[in-house]
Amino acid sequence: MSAMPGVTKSGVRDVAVVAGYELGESLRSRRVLILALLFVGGAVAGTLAFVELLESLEASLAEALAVADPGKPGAVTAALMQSPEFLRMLGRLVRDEALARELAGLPPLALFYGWLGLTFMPVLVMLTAAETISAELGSGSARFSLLRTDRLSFSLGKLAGQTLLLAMGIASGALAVWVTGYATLGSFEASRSALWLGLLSVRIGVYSFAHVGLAVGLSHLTRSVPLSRALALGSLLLLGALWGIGRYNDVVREHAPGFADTLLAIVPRSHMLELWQPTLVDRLPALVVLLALGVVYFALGYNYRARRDA
Amino acid sequence: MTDAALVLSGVRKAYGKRVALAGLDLTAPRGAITGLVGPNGAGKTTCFGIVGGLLAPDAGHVDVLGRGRFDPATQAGRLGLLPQDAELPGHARVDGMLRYFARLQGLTRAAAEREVARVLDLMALRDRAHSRVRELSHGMRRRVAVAQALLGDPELVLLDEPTSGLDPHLVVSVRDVLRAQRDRGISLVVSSHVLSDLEAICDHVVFIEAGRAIKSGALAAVTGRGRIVRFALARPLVLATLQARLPDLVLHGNGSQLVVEAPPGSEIGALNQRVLRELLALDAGVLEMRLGHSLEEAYLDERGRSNLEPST
Repeated sequence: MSAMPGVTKSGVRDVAVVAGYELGESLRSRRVLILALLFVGGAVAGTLAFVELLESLEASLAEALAVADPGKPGAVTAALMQSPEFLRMLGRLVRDEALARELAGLPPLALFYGWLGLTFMPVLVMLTAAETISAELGSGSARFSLLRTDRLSFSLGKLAGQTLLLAMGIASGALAVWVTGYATLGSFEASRSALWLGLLSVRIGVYSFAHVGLAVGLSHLTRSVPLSRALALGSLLLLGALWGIGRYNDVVREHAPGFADTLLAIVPRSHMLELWQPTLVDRLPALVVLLALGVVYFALGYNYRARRDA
Repeated sequence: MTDAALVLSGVRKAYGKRVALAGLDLTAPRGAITGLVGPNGAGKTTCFGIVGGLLAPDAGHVDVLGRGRFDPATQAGRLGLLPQDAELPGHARVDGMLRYFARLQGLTRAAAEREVARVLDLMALRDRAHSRVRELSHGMRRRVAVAQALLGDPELVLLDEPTSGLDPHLVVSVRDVLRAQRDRGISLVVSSHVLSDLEAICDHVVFIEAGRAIKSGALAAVTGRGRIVRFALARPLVLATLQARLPDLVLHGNGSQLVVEAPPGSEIGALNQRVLRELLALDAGVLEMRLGHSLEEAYLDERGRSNLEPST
């Protein structure tokens, strides 16, 4: 009785067990499947739209210059991106010459993928991870797990599961973009594009992790699934508003610069541009801060729930 | 090792202004089935939540298996719990979910596989192993919930309404399973609204009213099975006539009902023999003979008595 052979227990092992089950169940759930299809479908559709735009721009350019239509799109744009005029324009836009050179040096498709991921991944994360904890608290099914592991391991397992899900979503999105680009773009640099899609995927992953932490953290605050979804989406709007205030509100910037800087520090979006920096040393502060923000958002939500009944 | 699998003393718990437990004292012996009897809102579910570490008590002492309050990080697998107000995740497959629970208890993959197969067999659910929870009937879900509480052979199992919603033949089967667990040395604490269910399996009972235990003890003692014999008679009997023939016994009755209280230390078989002989001699026509009260009668008696007593 109760001397069950082969019993091994540790917090790290519990986190891994919860994460593995969370990932498996999320992949099997219809809602996440639909959202994944939306992301991959969105990546493909976005890439096709991007390619079509390039095609149309290059055809117009060829017509204006009275040269032959270049056929498959991409080659002219790639050459255009290396022109001094384009570099100057980009430099003015991002206010950083080194960054402008880095961006101009990217394969166009990778540049587009980076923009797509950084813009839409947070929204998808909020939709998929918002009810991670709240649904289990609401139905009471968390009790079956919490009888077998401590609350921190359970919550960390959920966070890890959602992070793995995010990684799979980003990887499948990158693959979809690469395949679409390979099939439709002329002068497609297959290996260089693959490398850049991979590198940018890591940055998108870190940026999105801040949002996973936020969504899972918020999910601790309520037992209601609709409320946790509303909190998640509402928090995106709130963070957007805080970013706008911190960055563009002259009154706040003039009279309370410290407050404005603090607002910018706690909003993931403020650190987005730094993710494009050419060297790891320049990118590292943003990567570290984004990871820390994810952990802090999660910890705040966990701390609220840890002191309450399951 | 103490003789008690579970001890609660002076446990209090309130949800805002509503008091769920008002100083609950409870002891569940090892290797026995203890029944918790009480109306809705008496505090049984809160009691289970506190014992399982899911709810924090406001005051009082909880001792689970002689190790103080239950800590899942260090004691997972020693305590099994079927909470009443928790739903199993609908989209989960039965075997996968049970495997996950078993792994979370610390079992290796192979041990988890064996355990899942064992509890599914125990609850006659092997053929539904691959079903999703939402595809199961209410009764099947209940049996899956009982199965998860038995995973890993815990030393103490708490079951809140385990037979709720089950068909009669399955109620009997679950009762058999619980008895078998008890016979293997596992301690069980069971709550049910169906007192006949509890009476059929319990060795020990605790009556709970408004968050307090109003009576507890061995089933035989609480129902008076060791000292009371009840007779249903075909014809009304003059009690004084029988009392004259059995002057050392305490007799109660009204017409065709007779209750005989045995003096302390007397052997119930011999007492029964004496009373029966006199009843036959008086031509009372004995229709039925029962030891003690039913659990329901004992509970209602105690509840009535408790309501009459001024609260302290």
